[in-house]
Amino acid sequence: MLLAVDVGNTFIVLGIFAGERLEAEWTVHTDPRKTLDEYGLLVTSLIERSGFQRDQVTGVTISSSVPPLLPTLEWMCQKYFHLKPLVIGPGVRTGMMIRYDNPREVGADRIVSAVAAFEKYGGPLIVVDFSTAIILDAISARGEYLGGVIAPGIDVSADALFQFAAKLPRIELVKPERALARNTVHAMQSGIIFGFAGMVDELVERMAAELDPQHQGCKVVATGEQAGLLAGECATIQHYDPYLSLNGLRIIYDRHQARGGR
Amino acid sequence: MLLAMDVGNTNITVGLFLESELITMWRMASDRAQTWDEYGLQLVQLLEGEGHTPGDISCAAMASVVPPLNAVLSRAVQRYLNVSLKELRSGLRSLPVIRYDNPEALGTDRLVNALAGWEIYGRPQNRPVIVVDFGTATKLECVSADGEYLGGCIAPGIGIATEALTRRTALLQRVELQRPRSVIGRNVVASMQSGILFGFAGQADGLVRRLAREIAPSGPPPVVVATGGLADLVAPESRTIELVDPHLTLQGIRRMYELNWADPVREA
Repeated sequence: MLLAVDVGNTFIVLGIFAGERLEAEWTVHTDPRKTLDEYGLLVTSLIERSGFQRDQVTGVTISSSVPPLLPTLEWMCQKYFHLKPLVIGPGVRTGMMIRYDNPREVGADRIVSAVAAFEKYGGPLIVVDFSTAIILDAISARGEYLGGVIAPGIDVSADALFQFAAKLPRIELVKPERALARNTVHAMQSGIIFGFAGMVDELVERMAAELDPQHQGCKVVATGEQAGLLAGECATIQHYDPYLSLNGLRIIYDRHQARGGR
Repeated sequence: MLLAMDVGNTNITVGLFLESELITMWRMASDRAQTWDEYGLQLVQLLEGEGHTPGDISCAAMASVVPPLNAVLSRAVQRYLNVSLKELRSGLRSLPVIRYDNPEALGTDRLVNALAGWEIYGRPQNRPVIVVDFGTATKLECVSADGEYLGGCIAPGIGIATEALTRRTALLQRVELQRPRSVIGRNVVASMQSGILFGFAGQADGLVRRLAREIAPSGPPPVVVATGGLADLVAPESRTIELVDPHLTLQGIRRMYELNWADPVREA
């Protein structure tokens, strides 16, 4: 079985695959101070509590947006799984042509999700990843990665709002019944949820106008931990696929194996 | 002359009014560490720098969302300009009707924006008005054509959201806020410029459209006016903002002062 690990700035998402099937997935918070033994214990317990044995894991693949954590996780794989992980980054062939000024600058997580989304939905395609940042990526009809847009994420922005504005309370992020608010808590829920929905719709529409000027049918797929909250409010989002990054890791790993590990 | 102060979480904007005309304005940083003597001196220097004297000031009013600064600024104005600084509060006279669960909880900055938006744009055109203030937070206020405050919303502002993003992510960097050549960026800086500029225009438009549908499902559409530090940057990209009035908040402070303490401000 394959263990796929997607390290984001806020969360680490892990999944194990039997062939193409995602058998189990877990989310833990990202903590660069945790040691390799702490991560080792955490990951092996999660696997064993889901009814699998750690020696069933025959391959590991990692993509990381947090460079300091990568050595820790590589050593963890060696010590607890006796495996050298395939780290997705510059130099690893993903099967996707990258049209970026400096291809090394594109986050591995963005390419991984783009690969999975193109495989499943085809192009032209826009992937909206709701995580620490809101990242929108454009993939052409021929499957080239064309670049994208980065905007502040919902949690990060909401936290900043509570911290800076002395008179504003911290609130639960739930969708209010209407936009017009007559108390502060409702005003912030409305501003955050409907505001970010407006932001995403505008960005998708402007990207689609560049990506698909003939209106031949641009697909729009959302993923990421907060997609569930917003996807329903965004008029432009067609699909919600929470496991895009894990599936992308699996696809790239399989392609790598098929080439004999090169 | 009236000295009007808009005390926000990032900046203090100070305006000098001769009757209803704004003669000059300055921005200072909101710094909770500064004392009344430091703020007082700064005010006197700014006035003198434009050929005025503290004696020209006949009255002063403040709308503040930073309570710890209120006493400091009151003391500064009293000591250096020799007038008492009137603190505008939601219980005072402003719009004819305030539809808010607890009107006391409505921030004074929001109230003065709503008041100025209605008096300058809504009432003369007999249309409802939506004010969008691009400040530390992006705040939207709705007022009916006959001056009823109807409610609004509060979203994270451009500056703080962008700064929080660069602080919290390992690979992203600070960028200069300018318009990128295309929406789809081929490097991190262009991608962030696009996300911020077009994204926050979309944030405002999304909220304005929803509010407009709720407050004016029929009848004349609302006037949409933007104000605040970043309004000039975002408004050209917005599809709903009709005009930018950088002095809306100060005008609201002046107007609310007049409604409560004076006939139109006379020259001292």
